[in-house]
Amino acid sequence: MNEPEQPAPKKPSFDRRNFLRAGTLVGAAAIIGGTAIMRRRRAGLTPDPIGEETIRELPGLPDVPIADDEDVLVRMQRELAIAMAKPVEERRWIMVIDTRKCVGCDACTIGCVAENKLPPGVVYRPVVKEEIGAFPNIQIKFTPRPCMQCENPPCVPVCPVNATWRRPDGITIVDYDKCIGCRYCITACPYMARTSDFGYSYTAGVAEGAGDAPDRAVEGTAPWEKLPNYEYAKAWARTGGKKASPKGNARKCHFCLHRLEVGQLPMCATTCIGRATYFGDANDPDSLVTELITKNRVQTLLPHLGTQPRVYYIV
Amino acid sequence: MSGITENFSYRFNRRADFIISLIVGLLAIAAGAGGVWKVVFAGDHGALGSYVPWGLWVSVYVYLVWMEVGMILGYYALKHVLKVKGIDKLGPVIVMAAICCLLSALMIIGMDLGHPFRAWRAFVFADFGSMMTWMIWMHSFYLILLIVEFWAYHNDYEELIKWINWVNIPAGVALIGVIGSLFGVIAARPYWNASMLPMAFTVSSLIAGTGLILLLHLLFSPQSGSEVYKQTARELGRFLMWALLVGLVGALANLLITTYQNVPAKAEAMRLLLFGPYWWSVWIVHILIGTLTPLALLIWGRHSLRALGAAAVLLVSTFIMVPLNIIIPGLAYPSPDLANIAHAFKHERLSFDYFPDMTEWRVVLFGLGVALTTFAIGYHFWLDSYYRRLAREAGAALS
Repeated sequence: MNEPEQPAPKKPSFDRRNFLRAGTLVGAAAIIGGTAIMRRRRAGLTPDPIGEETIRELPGLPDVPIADDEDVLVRMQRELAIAMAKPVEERRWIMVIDTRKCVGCDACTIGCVAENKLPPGVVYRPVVKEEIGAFPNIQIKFTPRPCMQCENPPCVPVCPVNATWRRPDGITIVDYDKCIGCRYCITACPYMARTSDFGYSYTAGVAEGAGDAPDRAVEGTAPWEKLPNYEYAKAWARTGGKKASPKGNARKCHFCLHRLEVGQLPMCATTCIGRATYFGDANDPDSLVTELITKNRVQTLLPHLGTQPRVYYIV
Repeated sequence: MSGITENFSYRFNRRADFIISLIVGLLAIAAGAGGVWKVVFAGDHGALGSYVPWGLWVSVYVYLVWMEVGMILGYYALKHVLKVKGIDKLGPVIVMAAICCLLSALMIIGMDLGHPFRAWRAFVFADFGSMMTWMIWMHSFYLILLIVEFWAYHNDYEELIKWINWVNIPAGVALIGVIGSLFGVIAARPYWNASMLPMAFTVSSLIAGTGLILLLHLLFSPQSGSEVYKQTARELGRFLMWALLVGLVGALANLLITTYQNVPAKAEAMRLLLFGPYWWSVWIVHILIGTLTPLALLIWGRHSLRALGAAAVLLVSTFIMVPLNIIIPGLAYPSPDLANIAHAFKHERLSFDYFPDMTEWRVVLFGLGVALTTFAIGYHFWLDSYYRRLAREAGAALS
């Protein structure tokens, strides 16, 4: 008589082998992911600037007079020409802001808005005002805040599509045609130096309802708003639809790269009425900015974060 | 097959549920469509700004991913580790619900992008140094896994289901870990910048997912009414209670440590959260209605299916407050060195005051409507026939 066949003992579904299998999968995934992240982080600079135009060599400006008592703007202009004659990777742009001279006039902010044709809600260089002390012993501190063009920019590695990178001359830029508008870089910037372009216009709809003055009514946006800005040496007209770049993009100060390329100083340095903003090449040991940061007490914003800003404040 | 169908019964009373779900889902889609239209065609971006660049949409995305992954992880934990009886028959419902959550999450986060039609670049020109790239890739991989798993359930490929389970566990943990890291790596936001954030996200995901499993079990279990069904509900309730307690202890520890050290960058965000203008969303909605009441129901009403159901509904519906309370306070307080930056250049988009506007709510309503409608259709046309077939094969009595 045959013994009734005993069913085979059921193997527990979560046995050691399965546990090890899952553990191996987790471990392998973690190693691959971690390696990819670290390789990317260590890769450092992306050497390609935007287009040929941004790396072209410019001739010096020999017509600028050189004198001992020259205006700092003239000196910076002359030094800019010298720097632009060098290969891009040999320049190291920095900005120095003398907070003792800043009067909080906002001319730099407005100059920047005009130069880059910034729409409402986008600002590259606000001047932060802070009251120190209590009345009557009170002082107001002005802190212009452009992009810090960090040596170690936290906004760059977070971009999922490589739409932002640091150029060899240290300027961090955004490719508007690549940016998907996720705003991760905005959250990553500790200086809040990036703003999102929500597609606003100054004039759209402002004259609506002007029944008694129909000749003054603006159809859509005013013509001057449709003129292109020339950030990154490209014409960006605001004539496209609601999603035409730079609308929907993250935007930031780029030290007026398009002006540097044609031998002009950043707009904020030019419009500063107190000559409190200095700009130049820190790789040039004789430049004004090098002189300023070595002979004065300078600070950077939020140094503890290790971003190594290239904007220095004389205090 | 016998493993699935033993002790199987199935109640054919779901037609009314289907029609009600469909109507509610379609109404939500209709109510929210205007918001989607405004975002896609009019470039409206709700109340978001440059200083608070992420808000309701990102929070709802995180909430839905927590649900989606938490359901799957909770299901495997209950089935394989805690050996909860009867839970395996809920597998297809859970996978279907997870797919619906995931589709809704992707739709809502797509609305958050300034250039949604460039999202493909994250696949073609991916930068794997970014946590967001990993999130996008992991999420896409997870979507494929879930769809294959659902297909395998539908075709009774048990071996394939088993294999997918083993891939799903690390993939789910990795997805949640990556989303937690996405916030945790941002040194600029001290409130987020914590190595334990991915762990906190995993625990939150398990809580939210288990709450939804309990709800799905009570509503859709093919063994509804049986003793196994009641026993499974009680075990789910007990698991949810412990998960909730662990989460509560973690949140309390975070609160105490942050307020004790009193570093302004973190403590101010916490103060804003607890005593700011939206204090009621934390104390009343999240803590009282969403945590303490469900906990009380799970402890003192653990034998009552109605109490368990009420606890699950309260917990799941208010759990959105958790990602909201992580994401928004982290952004809504500037660094003390730049405290006055919002006054430096005035615009409504350059403000730290944020409350979602109607466009944002309508987009969320649309997304949830899509999830509900997809679930209703999926249940009616696939799961219903699937369970009927299993019941027929089991030869079980139909009630």
